Amino acid sequence: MRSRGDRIKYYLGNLLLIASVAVVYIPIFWMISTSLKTAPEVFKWPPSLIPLRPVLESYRELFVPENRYFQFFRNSLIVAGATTAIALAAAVLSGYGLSRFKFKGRSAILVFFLITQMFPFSLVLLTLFLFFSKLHILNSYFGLILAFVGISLAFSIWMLKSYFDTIPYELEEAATIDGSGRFGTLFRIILPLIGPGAIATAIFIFITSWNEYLLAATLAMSEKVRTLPPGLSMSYMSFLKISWNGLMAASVVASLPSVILFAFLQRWFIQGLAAGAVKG
Amino acid sequence: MNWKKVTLFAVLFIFALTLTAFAQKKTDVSVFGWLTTYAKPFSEAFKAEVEKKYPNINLVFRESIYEETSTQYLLMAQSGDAPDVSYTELIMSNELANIGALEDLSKWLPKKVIDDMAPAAYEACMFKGELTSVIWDISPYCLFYNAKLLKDTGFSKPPRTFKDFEKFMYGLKGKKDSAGNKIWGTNIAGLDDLHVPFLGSPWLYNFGGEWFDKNGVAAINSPQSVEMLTWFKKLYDDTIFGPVPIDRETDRTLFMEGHAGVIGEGPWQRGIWRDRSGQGEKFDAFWMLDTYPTRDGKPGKSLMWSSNAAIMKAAKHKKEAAQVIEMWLSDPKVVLAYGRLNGGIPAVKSIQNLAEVQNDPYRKVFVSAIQAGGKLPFSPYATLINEFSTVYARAFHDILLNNAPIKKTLDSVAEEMDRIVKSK
Amino acid sequence: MKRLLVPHQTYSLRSQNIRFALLVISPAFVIAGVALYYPIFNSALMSLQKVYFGSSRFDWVGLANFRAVLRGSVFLKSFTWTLLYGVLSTVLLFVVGMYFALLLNRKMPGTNLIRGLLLMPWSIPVFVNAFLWLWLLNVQYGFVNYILVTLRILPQPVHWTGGSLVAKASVLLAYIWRVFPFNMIVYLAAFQTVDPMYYEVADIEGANKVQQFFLTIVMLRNIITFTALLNFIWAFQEFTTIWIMTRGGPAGATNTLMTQVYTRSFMERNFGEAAAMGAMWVLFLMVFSVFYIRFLLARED
Repeated sequence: MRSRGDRIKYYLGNLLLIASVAVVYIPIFWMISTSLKTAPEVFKWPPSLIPLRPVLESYRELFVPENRYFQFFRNSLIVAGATTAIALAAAVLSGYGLSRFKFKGRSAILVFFLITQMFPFSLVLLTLFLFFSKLHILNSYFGLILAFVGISLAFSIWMLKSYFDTIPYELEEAATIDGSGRFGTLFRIILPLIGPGAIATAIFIFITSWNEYLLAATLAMSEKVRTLPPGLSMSYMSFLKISWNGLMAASVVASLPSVILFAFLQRWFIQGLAAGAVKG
Repeated sequence: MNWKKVTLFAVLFIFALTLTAFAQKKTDVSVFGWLTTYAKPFSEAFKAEVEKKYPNINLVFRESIYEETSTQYLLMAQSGDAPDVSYTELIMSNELANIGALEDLSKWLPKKVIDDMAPAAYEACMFKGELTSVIWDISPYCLFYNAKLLKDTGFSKPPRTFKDFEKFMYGLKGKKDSAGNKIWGTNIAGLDDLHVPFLGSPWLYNFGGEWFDKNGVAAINSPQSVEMLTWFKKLYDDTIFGPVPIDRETDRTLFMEGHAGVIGEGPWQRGIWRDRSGQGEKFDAFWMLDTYPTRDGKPGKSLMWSSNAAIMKAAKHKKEAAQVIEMWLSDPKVVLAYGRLNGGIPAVKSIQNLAEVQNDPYRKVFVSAIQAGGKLPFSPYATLINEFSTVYARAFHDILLNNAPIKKTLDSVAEEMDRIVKSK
Repeated sequence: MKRLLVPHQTYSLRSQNIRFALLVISPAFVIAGVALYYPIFNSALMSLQKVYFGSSRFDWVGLANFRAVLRGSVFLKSFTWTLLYGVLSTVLLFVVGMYFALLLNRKMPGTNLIRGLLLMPWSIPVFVNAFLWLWLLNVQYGFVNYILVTLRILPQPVHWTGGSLVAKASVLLAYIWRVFPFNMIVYLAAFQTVDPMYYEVADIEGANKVQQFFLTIVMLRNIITFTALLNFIWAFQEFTTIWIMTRGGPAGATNTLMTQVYTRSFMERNFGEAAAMGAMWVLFLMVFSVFYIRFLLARED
């Protein structure tokens, strides 16, 4: 099986892979490299991929309370975390219901969810703003989380429903025969099984919420609840000042939660995708 | 002893004490705007001055992102959730006044303050007979030239005529710095549609053009306007004008790194150069300031831009807001502090005439630009600046980048502008 | 395989099931109703209105907004580019995603690590990605120009956001770089569901690697087409990247329907027209999806 031709192809493949990854990573090196440069060096020509005099100044700037960076970071964490928890819970319940029970209008509901996925969200912004201001939940965590959950639900329900579809019905049948009630079945038998699907969905929701700019900027103008995306716009892209090294440092740190999430939950994420999205 | 009298007196005394206790309670007066994003030291000094004069006021700054402020004002007008003091620009104020969201400040400010306002500033703020905002800082645009590049091309001071300016531009053609970086002539930073007509207005006025003629008909396709764009196109094709389009920050960086001959900016820019270059006042030697060039060399017109303050009808503490605005506009300590920290032209005559302002060569240039004349872009329909900018910016870039025929394109822009005016 | 409700259940049990189903679905519905459906419905109404921003006033204008949108030359240009953007990005995402998926789907030490590394572009926030590419492609100070000029691939620096064609390419590049890991991961996951027996049979039958590749594609066509549909819809939704890099310029070259909706709503304050655009776009996507799915199902037979 392993002829010399095969061996050569194998090593060539490896080489190609490494080279490709290196090319893909150039922007990332550049991002990190810029974040370590001093302001004058940022515009030096020829530009250096590796800073000649690396400094941690831009990162230290993040800790200056005046820049409010970690305030925004914390707000993003709170909003994204709560959104993930709530949206996941609601989507798990809905996914289960839509997967197991055929009733009139079920496919209509599913299609409806898919359609709302296609809608330009900036349009809903105006209505949301006016509506929230009447309810006095503007500039509050509650309002933000409500809006973010709203936009994450459709996709999450789809993913979880497909994932539920792959769990055999026999388990529930067995449980029902054993006399367990509907909710009992759900909590004791089904929930422990949805690990990968739930993780994949949770990561999607978290990243969507973490990334969201437009909604966050309009619905939470007050600095107290401002999240990272509009916050970065303010601190580092304000009217008169842009410091690329500062912006890159802020970006590196802003990317950390998603990167860490992926690093640790990679395997489950892929499992969840494989089962849910692929088979469905 | 008349116990009745004593009791009455005691009751009155206690009542008065309670009243003063309530009167002393601090009122939170909010100021909404992007002031703190570029003038934080001034904001703090301002707050200190206000609270010294009015101990019952607690000034609270609610920061906004500049690009989104006008949208947020409209949203606030609609929802009724308004700040007390509104920091606006002239166009924002007009937009809000147009929908009836602003108080008439002539009812809230003392007459002597209103009489002290510079006539041009006062007229600019009148909207349908009401004083819907006040200007506390006039910011015309002038040109900052790279001093070294001027010298290298044979100029001891900035060019005053179009002919000389062109000479300067062509002197820079093909130049590179020691590291091999291209040196550009000038630019109109136009990544944002808004900036193309905004930063291009001074050029248009000095070529003799107008956005709208005195009958309110679009005049952007006038011969003078065609002349201006033909000139820009020539500079662009000769790689002197550009890069097009570019964001304002890169434009400023190009100038600061010595890669651009000249840039159009406002009075605040001196402070920014000093801060960003890291050289403080030494950096002043890097640039030379003058008004825009003209055909005959007289001081060039600029656009009438400003920082304004207004009170929204939905504000809760209007009396205190008026007190804050009065200080912002006419208290010498506050106005001079802003001038020192951020550059800026006072809008009231009494402060304009102070020696500190009159003898400042930097501010004098800007004052002469104001006096040469200049209007808001797209006057008299300045509130429609967003719609017009989209159309004009697209045409401008089409002409420069895609070789669109100049007169024909400008004709369709004028048509479109007239149509927009009619549709409102 | 999923099974239907057991047929011999009594009526009361069945209705109990339905009640339970509706109960569990309700939380999501309530939230989505408040935060999503109501605004969407309101936007649909707005497409028939002329809305006066800053006050609660509005007029009913029927189809005037739709007519206004369709009349402008801008609409056709944006729509064409949006379609092109959708198609190009879908194709390129397939190519790049499949390329890496194939390279990673071999027995090789460190696959997990490399796979994790390649997820990085997707985990960077969207706006960070946009700023990063804006900076990389800067005409005077950007790294990309430096590399291309030094390697003599280009005679002189290119102003990447300053020309119709290059701006389009820049925007595509930034988007593809960010999104390809998603395709890659989905394809990788799909590979694992393919029974290795097929490959052994193919090997025995003397099929070479290229033919085996086509075999894989055929077997995964469902997931590939589903991902393609997702990619296509996402391209319509993409806003941040284009807005930060080019604002839809130069001269409207990179305007998509999404940037147009934003411009019309928040910059020109013309919410009626923006809503009309939104309505047309949703209609188009719905029709497209229906035809697309029908086309797929037909081909299966």
